[in-house]
Amino acid sequence: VSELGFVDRLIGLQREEVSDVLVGRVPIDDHTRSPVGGLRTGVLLAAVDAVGGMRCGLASLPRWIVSTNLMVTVGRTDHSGPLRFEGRLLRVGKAAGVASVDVLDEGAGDRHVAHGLLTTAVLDPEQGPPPLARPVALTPRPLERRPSDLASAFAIAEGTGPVTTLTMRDDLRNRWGILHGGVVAVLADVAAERAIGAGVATDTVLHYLRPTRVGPLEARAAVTGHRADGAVVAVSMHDVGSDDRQVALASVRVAL
Amino acid sequence: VTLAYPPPEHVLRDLGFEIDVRDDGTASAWMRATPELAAPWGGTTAGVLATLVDAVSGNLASLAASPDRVATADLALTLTRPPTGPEIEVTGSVLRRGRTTCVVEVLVGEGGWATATFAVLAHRDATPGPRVGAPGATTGRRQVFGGTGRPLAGWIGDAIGLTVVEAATGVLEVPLTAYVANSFGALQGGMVAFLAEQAGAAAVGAALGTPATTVGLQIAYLAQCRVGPFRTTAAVLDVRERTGAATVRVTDTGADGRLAAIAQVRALGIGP
Repeated sequence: VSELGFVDRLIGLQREEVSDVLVGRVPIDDHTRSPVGGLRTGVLLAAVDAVGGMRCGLASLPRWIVSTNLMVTVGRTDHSGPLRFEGRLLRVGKAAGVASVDVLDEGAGDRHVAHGLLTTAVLDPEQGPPPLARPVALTPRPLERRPSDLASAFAIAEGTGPVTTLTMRDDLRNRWGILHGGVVAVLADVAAERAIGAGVATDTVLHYLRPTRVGPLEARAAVTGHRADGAVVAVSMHDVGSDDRQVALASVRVAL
Repeated sequence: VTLAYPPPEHVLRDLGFEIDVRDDGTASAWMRATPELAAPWGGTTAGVLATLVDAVSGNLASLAASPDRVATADLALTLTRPPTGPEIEVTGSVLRRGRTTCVVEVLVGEGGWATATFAVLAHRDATPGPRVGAPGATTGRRQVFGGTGRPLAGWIGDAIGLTVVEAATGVLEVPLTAYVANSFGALQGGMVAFLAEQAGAAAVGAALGTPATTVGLQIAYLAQCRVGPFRTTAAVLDVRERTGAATVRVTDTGADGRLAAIAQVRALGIGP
């Protein structure tokens, strides 16, 4: 599975290197649109992860990175689109890199709609870094057929009670063979909204604790509490086929 | 050689934290909820809770990483109700101890949740580092974190020298003093979080036209705040009805304006 795999194609993510900024663009399509008309937060998270991750990765060459922690604050969920993601390097060292990603709504006069912080771990991948021509300019092939909805496209289905399940598929793996971080983000979004039964996912903190290798991946949601601006849901994700080990943990605010 | 930290006159002592670190990789900590630490919604301010989270998770991470050392890389805190007293309890557990990072989850009172990520720094015999807070040798016993201090005589912001330069743009400043320094002599991480959340809440409150209280705080620590004074600027993402969000940059004005931390703040407006 390449850098321009199924996930990039599904969300329509383009990326290009403009000076020291990694710029991404994501359209708002029917299958990526939230109930309030903007880009689904799970997709926004996936794009922040991809843009911030590539920015950190380019700064780490000839080594590369894996995402460890994603923190996103969403100001508005009613976007016009497309959204532009501007990834800037904040810090890179021998062990870790941090990127800031500003999310702007190009269809609304470049309104600043969200901000992301991505922390990454720097490593030496066995097969080396992704083969990228510089400056980076990546445009995914269009999908042959657009899916009817995001959850089914990502093999996400309702489980029992507060559990939402993702079935592993090879096209959901990244080039390292593990589940794509953006897919984990979408699962957190879907599971949190299911737990509340209404509203849209917004501010999210997502820790990638361990790689998801086998699946299925279970997202177990628990409502932390309610407040004036919505509810907060904790989502613990477990790789059932790997002795049920916890692979990710998220806190998601669902605006009501 | 180990150096005792914090020193006798220090904000961590005066906050009166108590902590119990257990051998099973969990820990609890307690603090008194006093008017000097109150936020506009009645509970203890998020920045002080972040300091408590940093203390309990830092002790857990230190134990998990021993003999290596740890430094806070990022911290996230979400509140759904005002944490009120007379005593607030937090409980932490290690989620993951990897080669380069350690992640700790902390439950904050009822309805609060936090995580902290620590960078693992390789142990060096020549620089073993300070002994911080409750030492690991005395696990399993509730004890005062860092030693007994004096109760704060006024609002904590005044105690640390915090000044609001311009609320609407979240410009706040705080100097570096021994009272708020960490074991490296830089601004203590919890105080950086406090500064950032105060700046975010000030900017959101100004945009809402009402006092605002921080209910969500995410902060990434990028560099030590070594010189000072430290200045914040906030950019409001959006405000609507009674909520708003802002991004806050913390810079070290004495170090050529170096960006030391960046935070995301979600705040609720309080009032009619």
